[in-house]
Amino acid sequence: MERREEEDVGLMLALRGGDLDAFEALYRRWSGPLARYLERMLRDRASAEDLVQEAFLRVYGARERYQPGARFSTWLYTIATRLALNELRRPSRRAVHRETGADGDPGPGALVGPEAGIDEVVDARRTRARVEEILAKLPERQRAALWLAAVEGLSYAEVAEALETTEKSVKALVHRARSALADHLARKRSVA
Amino acid sequence: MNGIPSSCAPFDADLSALLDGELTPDREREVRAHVAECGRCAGRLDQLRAVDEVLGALAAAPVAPEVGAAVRDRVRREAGRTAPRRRRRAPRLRRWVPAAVGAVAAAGLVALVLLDLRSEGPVPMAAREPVPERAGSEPSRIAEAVPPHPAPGPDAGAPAPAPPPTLDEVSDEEIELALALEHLGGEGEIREWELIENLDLLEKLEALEARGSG
Repeated sequence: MERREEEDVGLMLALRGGDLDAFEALYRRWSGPLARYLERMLRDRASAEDLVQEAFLRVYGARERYQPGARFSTWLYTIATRLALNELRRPSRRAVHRETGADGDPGPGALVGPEAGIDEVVDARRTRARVEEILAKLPERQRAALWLAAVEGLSYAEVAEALETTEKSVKALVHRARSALADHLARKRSVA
Repeated sequence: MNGIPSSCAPFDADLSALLDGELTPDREREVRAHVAECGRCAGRLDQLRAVDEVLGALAAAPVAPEVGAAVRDRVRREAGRTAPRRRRRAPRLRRWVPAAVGAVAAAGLVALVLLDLRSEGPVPMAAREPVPERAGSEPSRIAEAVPPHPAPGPDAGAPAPAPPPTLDEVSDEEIELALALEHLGGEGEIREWELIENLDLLEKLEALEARGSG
């Protein structure tokens, strides 16, 4: 277990013992990445933040039953994934997509170096926008599987637990999603 | 990618798993050997790798401060609601609610309000549009959402039920409050934000409890 993961376990054990500072530390550490994941899943910032709140309340509610074993992040993302899939299954849910505001702008340097010219910056922004667009069109389980494996670094076994499926299925979901994005990016580049 | 050459077909589906480090050592050697000799698969691997780079560069927006404030506030309130206090309240509520409304179900409802707030949904952020009813916020769905990784512990021991009082022992104020709580719960589910929006009910409940235990 890596140091960061050990720290998470230590914080969770402290929280189990009633240390609210430990909860604060876990929230500070994980709320941002969790919001980023949930925003991609739900395509709506406000809903994502509501689920961030709900996921952390679940963590707090389950603190006394916590047993160090699997990574804390896997457990947290499993909670969040199930909340997100429940949310997406709501019949009344509107398929909204809000553009990320100024707070969510990763800045002009993302995907390009600090010496990038204006053309490269514009190109990087377009690429991000395209990826967001394609991600939003992927089936929700493909989206979740790809994000958890490729961005959050969960193993296929951990993703399978979060999605309540098999590792074989996760392998197929990740490959389909990654291939769809790769095809789209390759097509755009060949057109440009 | 369309039109995968037959010589590449056995390897294409494993390129993603190769990137993710999910192949067995033997299979990884086979796939790497093929990629080393195949320009098409080497290019495809680069395309797949580029996807990860783009995904990693997507926005990691800071969470709105009010979200953190709401979580902290909720957790502090939960932490402040100590177990002894709950145990003191429950028998009292179980005594007067059934007599007040003549329904055992109402007792369970009020007990839910006071004893099981932990499993309710989020408090919607102030200054946002109202949060619509969410199926996932129902207690049964919430239980599904929390994975069994932390092994479920034994339920906290519930106090033995006290015999219900007679109607003569129940004040009009208690009856009114019980009916209001029952109305709030609808078909048996009370959400946290409904309680937050009806703090006057909780305050009355607190006052009654203080008097009852005093």
